[in-house]
Amino acid sequence: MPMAEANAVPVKAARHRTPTGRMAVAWQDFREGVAMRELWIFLGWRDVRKHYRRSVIGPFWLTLSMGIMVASLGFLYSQIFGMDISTYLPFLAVGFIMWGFISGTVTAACNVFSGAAGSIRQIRLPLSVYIYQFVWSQLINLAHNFLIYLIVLLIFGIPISWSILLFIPALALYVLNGVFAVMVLGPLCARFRDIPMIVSSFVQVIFFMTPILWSAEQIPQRVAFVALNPFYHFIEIARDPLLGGTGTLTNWIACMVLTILFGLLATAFFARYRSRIPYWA
Amino acid sequence: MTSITLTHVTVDIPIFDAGSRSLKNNVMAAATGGQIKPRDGNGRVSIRAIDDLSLDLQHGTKIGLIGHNGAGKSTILRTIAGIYEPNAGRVEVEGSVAAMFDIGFGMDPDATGWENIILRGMLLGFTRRQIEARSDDIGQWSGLGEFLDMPLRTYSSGMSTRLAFAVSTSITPDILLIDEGIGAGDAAFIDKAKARLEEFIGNAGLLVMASHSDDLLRQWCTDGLWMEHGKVRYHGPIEETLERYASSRAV
Repeated sequence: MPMAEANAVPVKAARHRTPTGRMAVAWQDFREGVAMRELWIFLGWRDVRKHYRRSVIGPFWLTLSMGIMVASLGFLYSQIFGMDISTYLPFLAVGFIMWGFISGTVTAACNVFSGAAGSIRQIRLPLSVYIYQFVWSQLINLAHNFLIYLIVLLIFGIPISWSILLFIPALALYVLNGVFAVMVLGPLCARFRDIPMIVSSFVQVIFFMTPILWSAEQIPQRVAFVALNPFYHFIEIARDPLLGGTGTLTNWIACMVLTILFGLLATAFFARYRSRIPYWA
Repeated sequence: MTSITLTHVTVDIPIFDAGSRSLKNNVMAAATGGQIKPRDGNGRVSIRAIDDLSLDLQHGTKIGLIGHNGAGKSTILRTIAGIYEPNAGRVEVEGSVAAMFDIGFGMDPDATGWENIILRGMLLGFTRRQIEARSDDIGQWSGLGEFLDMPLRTYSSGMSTRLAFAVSTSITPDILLIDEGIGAGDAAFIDKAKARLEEFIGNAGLLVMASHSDDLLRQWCTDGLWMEHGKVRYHGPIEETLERYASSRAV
């Protein structure tokens, strides 16, 4: 039989309607999705390439536009803040790259299921396949933007230590939260079509509220205002290791606690509404 | 053993208008005690597409779904395929399922014919290696020759149907679900397609097919299931079912 496992799984409907049953079915969905990694890795690559099929430098257009943005904003704001460009620009570049992943994921997470409505209703795939495919394509975009980091690294000779390895757990937390974001925003935005607009304006505001253009040390007296912003901690755990630091313990604890809480919320939400997605999308 | 068992299955399809799609309107409706609900059509409407359906199909069954538009035929197929989870009742399906609803599904207009064979093949459940091993056969059978190196958007609609058909029929599922028959290009191709379709459908242990074409249903199905408003009107041999359905319409 050439049919994949997932298509052969017997569909059992009765246990869908108890909370524990729903949880079990959602968990099965995620496991089946992992088993089909060949499919979503393939589809994720296609998503990235599809956007830029007929251009020569492909997804590096994104990198180029971000690079130009970083270079000009870095120059401008280092003047405004009166900071040394060799400390300010790497700080801005890394913050921008990581924010690019966060904002891109949160904004586009809204359209994961509504954008795939056609295929959701045509073939039976675990819904987690769409989630993995999406987060994977966001990771590919992030990898392209890392070229900017490497250039900055070379130009400004940033001291790199073993602490750069902390970027790996940071990235893992990013990926987990990306998956959770789709689990909540995907079904929600399929049901209520005005949420994507709300989310994207929210994301814009957060960008200015989060220390990306400016640094947290510039406003020490308002420390609570920064410390209560979850995005600050997430930016920090990735940015600091890439610039030779470690991030504070507070940053790491905040990120881990937030990930666990968001994970619980997302799992409960997704398990509850997963079966409605084909009807809503 | 291949089988499909539906036990008291009910499926409601929610119908959303622009208003009920909006979070703002829903919040407003709640805040105003729901008083504006009836006026702007904010009340959620749902259609009972399948109403308490029980059905037991065993290996070897070839059943045709009959009924006018909106009778619930496509919903039954989607429920068996596992796409729609029912609101009540249980669905048990033993065996691998292939759903053929929209033949053009999963094709990328900007990709070449070869790439589309891989893409569609993987969506149908092949691994990359399996579909690559078959792609030569599929490409050859489609008879598209050098066009396979061109992007799909340069194809005529008949040509892309040929390609989709060639890939879709290269699988061998236990259970085959077909919605509205499989259209397949020009006359010369239809003859060629017939032989392959015969093999494809013949190999399936269980066939459920929705169609408005009496000829197709007679050709492929032994049983008929006449649906009306989500309920079974008649379930029996295909000839008998078609006759009853035809006479009900004549009145």
